[in-house]
Amino acid sequence: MSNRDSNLLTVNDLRKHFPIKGGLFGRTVGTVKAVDGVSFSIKRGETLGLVGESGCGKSTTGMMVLRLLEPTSGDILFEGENVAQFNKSRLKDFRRQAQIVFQDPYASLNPRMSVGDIIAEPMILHGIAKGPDLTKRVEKLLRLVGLGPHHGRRYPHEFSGGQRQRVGIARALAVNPKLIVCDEPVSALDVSIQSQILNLLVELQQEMGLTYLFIAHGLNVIKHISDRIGVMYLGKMVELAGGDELITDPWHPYTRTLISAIPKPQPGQKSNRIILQGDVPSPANPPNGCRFHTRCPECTEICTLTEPEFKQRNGRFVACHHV
Amino acid sequence: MTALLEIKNLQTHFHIGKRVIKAVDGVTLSVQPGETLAIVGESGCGKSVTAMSIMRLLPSPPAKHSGQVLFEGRDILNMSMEDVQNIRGKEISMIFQEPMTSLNPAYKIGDQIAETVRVHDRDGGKVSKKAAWDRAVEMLEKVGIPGAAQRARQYPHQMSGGMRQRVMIAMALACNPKLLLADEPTTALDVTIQAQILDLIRELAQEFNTALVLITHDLGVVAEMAQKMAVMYAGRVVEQGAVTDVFARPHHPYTAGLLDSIPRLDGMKKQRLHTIEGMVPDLAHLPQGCTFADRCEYRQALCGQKKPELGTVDGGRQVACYYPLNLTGGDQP
Repeated sequence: MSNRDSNLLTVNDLRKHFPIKGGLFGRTVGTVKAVDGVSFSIKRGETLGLVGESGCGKSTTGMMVLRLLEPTSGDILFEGENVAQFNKSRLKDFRRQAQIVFQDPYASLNPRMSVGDIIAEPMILHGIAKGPDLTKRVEKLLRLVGLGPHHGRRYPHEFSGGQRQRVGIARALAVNPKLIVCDEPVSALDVSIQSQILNLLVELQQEMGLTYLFIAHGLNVIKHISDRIGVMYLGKMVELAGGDELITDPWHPYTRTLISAIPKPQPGQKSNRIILQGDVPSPANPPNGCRFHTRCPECTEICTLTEPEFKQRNGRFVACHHV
Repeated sequence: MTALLEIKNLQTHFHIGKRVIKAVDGVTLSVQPGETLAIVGESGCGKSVTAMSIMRLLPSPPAKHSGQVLFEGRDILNMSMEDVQNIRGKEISMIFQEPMTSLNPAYKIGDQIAETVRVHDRDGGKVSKKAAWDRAVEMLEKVGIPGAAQRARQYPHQMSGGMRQRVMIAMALACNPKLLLADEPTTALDVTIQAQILDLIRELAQEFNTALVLITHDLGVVAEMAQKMAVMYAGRVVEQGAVTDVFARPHHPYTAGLLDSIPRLDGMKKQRLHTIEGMVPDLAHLPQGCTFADRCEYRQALCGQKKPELGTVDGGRQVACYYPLNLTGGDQP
């Protein structure tokens, strides 16, 4: 492939099916198709945003990219090599290059370890540094994320939510990775702290040339940080396009709905809101045809019968019969 | 004046050991009949405690109230618990953020709504079980639950998050209250469901002519739902006024900072966002002066010495700041 050099990560037809166990003998009685055929690629230094409502499979996708969850099928090509087939030692190597920042800065830091030890641990595990060099690197990382060296001796409970998220970012940066999966990194934070963390992530990307897979449910946050945006619905990607195009000219009816549903901080401006009927169907029993057809305002007969392909048009991707 | 709810200098302090946590430390606001007031602020600013104080839902001790909460002229803080019971559910009702934890998992939802009707019915007379059940089904229809008669016989776990929040709204409005307190009613919901629920609340509040106090951290929700807003910071109301005015010309530096910090859909990609540096002060050790002074870019010497009181500027707008921004030339507080 010609774009092998520019793409850091390419994901092809990725699937994750969770079995539903039931009955007396714990037999498999069904499957939840959490992610059901998702493809995308991320260029070096780019931010790809994944947006969607709860249960659409965006976090599952992020976890599979790092093999924190085993994919049911599909390929994950990182610098041309298939992560899905890595053995244990290759995987360890890979994790030095790809890291994750979690949503909940309260739950993802070990309360019994000092912040300095938390940041040092990945460097010890990967044999990157030890002794005085390690201490120096920890201090440098703390400064990089806007904390001071004295914070290293403290424990997670002594920090606020925003500071803990800074620690989580410092830990991810410790191994000097190329790719960081950010799984809802600002969703638990207040607006004024959220903007601090978003600024930090943008600065770090520009300084260190990082590539982000940024997962969030807030479209305004995704729009702010992403170069391109993928919209997911019920385990499928329905649209993928450059951030500005996607917002100003959404092609998929679900994307249009998502944009119109966000309450805009502009009083007096009457929005032509599209209100969807009903709830998201269960991923254990997704609708036939297009998965969005049960709620789609533009649904016609073909939508209930055949699943639309995720096709490329003018450099954008969309899965809808009516584009 | 004919304010439905008037809160004057409400303070709710928690006495825990030797520490006093000033969760609410001087809230003054008023709600007219049929009006929607949004209380906005970040976590820990005291917005939920204010709502809980209005309903007298906080155990005392450790909570200690002072000031006044006048509902139709009567001070809720000085009422006997029996009188408070008569107001709760019937005159003022509340919806909470988490619809799963505020519904009883062991009872059918129809029974839970019917119970509210039987306990709080306006006439004080007895409502038959049948009539209460019918009212419950009627309310479930009103909040847009398809197949209401069958759904009423289901349990909370059989419903989705959005449906549960609809049930909570049905319950809250079953006795036709004059005031509805909604504490982050859509925060736990997805955006498309949030849009449904906000629309429903707005329609029903209009239909029943219910005044609404909407507590939220989302300025988008404020802009779409409310006529008036109060911004809280560290237990105090720092700014109050008509929503359009406050968004157009925020007077308090905190309000201005909040408005500037939100990433906008039409904003430039990866452009530096405005930040409010620092953190919210510890409610057990509030500073002597303005609680926002430490983070304020316009701070001057006076700000660190004495707390600014909420004063009127620009005709009708209220702000607690010595050096308000964006004045059109009205009086200084």
